[in-house]
Amino acid sequence: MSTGPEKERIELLQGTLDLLILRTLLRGRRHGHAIAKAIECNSDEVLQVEQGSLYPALHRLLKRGWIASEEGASENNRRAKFYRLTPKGRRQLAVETSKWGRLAAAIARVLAPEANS
Amino acid sequence: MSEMDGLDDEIREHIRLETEDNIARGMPPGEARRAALRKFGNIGQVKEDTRAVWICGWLESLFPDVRYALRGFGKAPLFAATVICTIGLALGLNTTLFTIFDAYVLRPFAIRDPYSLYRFNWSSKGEQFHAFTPAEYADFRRADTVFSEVLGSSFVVTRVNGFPVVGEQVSDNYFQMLGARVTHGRPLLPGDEGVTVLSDAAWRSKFAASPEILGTRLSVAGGVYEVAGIAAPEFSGVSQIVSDLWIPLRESGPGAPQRINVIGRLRGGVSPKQAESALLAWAKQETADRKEPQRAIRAELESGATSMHITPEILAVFSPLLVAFALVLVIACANVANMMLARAMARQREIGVRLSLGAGRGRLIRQLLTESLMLAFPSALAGLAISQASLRFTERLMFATAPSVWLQLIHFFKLETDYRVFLFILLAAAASTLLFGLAPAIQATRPGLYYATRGDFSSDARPSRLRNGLVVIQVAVCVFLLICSGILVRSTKKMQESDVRLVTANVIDLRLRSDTVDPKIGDRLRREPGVESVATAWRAPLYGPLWWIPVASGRSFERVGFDFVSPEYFDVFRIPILRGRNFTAEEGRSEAAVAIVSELTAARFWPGADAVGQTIRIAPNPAADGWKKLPAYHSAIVIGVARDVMTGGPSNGLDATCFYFPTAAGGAKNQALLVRVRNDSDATRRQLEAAIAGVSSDSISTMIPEDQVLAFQVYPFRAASWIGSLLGGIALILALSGIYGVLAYLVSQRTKEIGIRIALGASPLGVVGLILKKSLGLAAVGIAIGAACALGVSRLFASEFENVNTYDALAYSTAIALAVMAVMAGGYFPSRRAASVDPVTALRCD
Repeated sequence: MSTGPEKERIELLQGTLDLLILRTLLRGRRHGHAIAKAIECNSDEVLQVEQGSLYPALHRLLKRGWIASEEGASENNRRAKFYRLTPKGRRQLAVETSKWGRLAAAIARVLAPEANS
Repeated sequence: MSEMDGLDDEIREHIRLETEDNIARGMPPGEARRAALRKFGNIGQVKEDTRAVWICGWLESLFPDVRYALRGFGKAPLFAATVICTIGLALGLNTTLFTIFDAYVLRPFAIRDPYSLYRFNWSSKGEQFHAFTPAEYADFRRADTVFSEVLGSSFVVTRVNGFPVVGEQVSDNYFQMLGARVTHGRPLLPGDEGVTVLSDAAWRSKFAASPEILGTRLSVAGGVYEVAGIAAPEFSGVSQIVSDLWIPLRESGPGAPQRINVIGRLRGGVSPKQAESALLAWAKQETADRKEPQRAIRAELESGATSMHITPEILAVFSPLLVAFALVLVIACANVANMMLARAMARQREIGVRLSLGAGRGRLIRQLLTESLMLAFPSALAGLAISQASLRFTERLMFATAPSVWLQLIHFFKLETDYRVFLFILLAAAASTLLFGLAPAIQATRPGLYYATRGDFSSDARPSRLRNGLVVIQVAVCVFLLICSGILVRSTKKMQESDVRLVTANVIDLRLRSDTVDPKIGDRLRREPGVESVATAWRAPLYGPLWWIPVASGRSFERVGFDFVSPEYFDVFRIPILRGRNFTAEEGRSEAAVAIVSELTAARFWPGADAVGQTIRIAPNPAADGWKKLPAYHSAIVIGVARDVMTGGPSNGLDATCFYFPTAAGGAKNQALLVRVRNDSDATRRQLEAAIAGVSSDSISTMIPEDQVLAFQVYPFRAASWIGSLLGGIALILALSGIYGVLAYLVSQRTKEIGIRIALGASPLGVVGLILKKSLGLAAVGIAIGAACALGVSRLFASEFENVNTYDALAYSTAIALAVMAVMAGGYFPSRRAASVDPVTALRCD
């Protein structure tokens, strides 16, 4: 990381990580490292995640039944634990996404006047 | 938990993949791995957090806490032992009380479906809780009401084989309806006549548990009954009074009871409220043709599941006892809280270090509470053991001290530890843990980090306010209990010594089963050798205050005490007639309109004049039903003045007013035969019994020496003063150890300061004074509060009982002196230690 261009990085908001994980898994089952990488790539490396914090979040989602885990083989044929979205998780993602949309819009409205001045 | 499996592998794999990616981006392998690790974050923390998702953190931290606490107690066994003993003692005492409460109020009778049973009677304007007459009972059984089954019962107090016995006449469906078992023979069955079932306890105590008793004949209450069965040990009837035997109920004819208790089993699906209105309708119909004061206005329905029903009255009677016991628990908790606080303070440096290293305050409080809880559990066990021991001891003490005739008549419920008692002690232990553990835990974790890590607490820090408060509470409660028990002990002593002015020795109070004394019995007893004189009275003396009627000598009526007595009454109790004359035998027989008054009555109605020859007017009183006896005339002439006596018993003092009206054996409603014998003994009593059996079909219900009637009046006060003294003594010991604990802690905290004082030339005496002054200051506040409370409470008692002296200087001064002595004793050793502080060591110790 120290070699990459110094982008301005944003700390993740509480609870957003869950949303990001669910969104990532929408495209199919993935193992832990792949999820972390996907989040990083998709956000243009703007969102800074301490990769370790992924695991408590994954287990939180497992416990709520929004995702499920299964054994599988990784790209280079090593045994790995894969996570996939459950139907319940899919519904939750819809709820969370719309919630997030409303929140983002609201924040944008609040910030807009200041941006103008 | 299975989701947790492989987390390590997963993380290892994650880091490996990230490292590979980094290498692919062109990093050297070592650098790549370091970057991957950096990016991952704290692995240990991640594992911890992930685990925390699945398990409650509380549970997880419990085991280390328990281990830690055990290690701590191992290092301070004396501390742990003191806490367990203190709380165990207080819990034990409270459990004892609760066990009794449980036996009488909470535990249902050992019968089928106890909670559907209800006792039923009604109230009218003229009479509270009207009891069924046999005719009303018969009507009620015929009526189809909300009860699916109804039983009737009536107590008979009688003598069997020379023993006093409490029996119960019961309707023939009694055993079947209640589902009561028998262990030998058979229960009473419908249609039974002339058979009886004995209670297990009576069978064991009165018939030596002999199986041959079945089939033998017993003479009970004037009838002969064959023993048909022995009831199961757990069954002792469905009332507060424990029966010795059951015989079939006679609904009419000789031997039929005057009043019958009615218990019904509510039909399924009927609520008590609905039942009440249905029963009121029935009672209104039943009493519709009576005079207005006797018409039912309210149905009284009470659960028959337990022997006592919690009512405000019962709570009022028990509340002083409950409060006293609870107070002991509170001061025990205060004591332990103090010890815990001292311990927490001594560990302040440790707690401070842990706080500054980032331990959460909640986590630390939890740990300290775990420690308290671990002390509470063995305390509860100790409490259970203590309560068992004290119950046995109480039973034994009661048998050794209570008047013997009453012990034969009154049976007690078995006091057993059931799950309710166990639940109680667990709850009490948990509550006391919170009481003694929470405050110290909160206090100890409050300090600023800076001072805490240095272990530096000046004596004016917050915790000392709490500790001082605890000591003040202890001293206050201790003084309060000591004063109250002192007043009780002294008033009991006064009561025991007080002269009721009735010579009770060798007088036997004899009650017969029928409500009118057969004149033949009196005549027969008078001829019996060894009998000096035989009197009869409406109400025998020493059974509580006199009944009253409105009487006037001038214009206005006044309530005055009265009784009906035969001329021999004054002789039997050796009450001298001071002026005028006694009743004549003829006046007694005809219940003539004359009266003898007591001295105080004479002085009140005719001050300065001679009472003899005066005329009184008696207000007409319509409500003379039941057992109440009233003069049949509206004016009477005073013919004599008798010496003042305490007819109501020692707790009521000399009768403020007393009118004696004449009666004789054979007069209606007279309850008691009072027999003065030359020498009262069992043989004499048997002789009287035989003599009565010879002339009358009536049988003796009870035969109690007046001495024992008197003793029974005083006994509750004696028992209360013992309990009071015990609680006071325990409170004293607790206060002593509490003060010791606080001062010992204070001295250890101020060692440095004391060292400096000594180094600067303070005398050892001055140092001792310094410490004692502190303790006496606390004690003074506690004593003032305790004495004020005691004053209030004893005034309340004084308004109820004649002999209680609110301002008993000796009780107050003794209690205060004892408390001061305890405080001095508690302060002595710590202050000695303070005086022996070596300045060199003290100054170096930090």
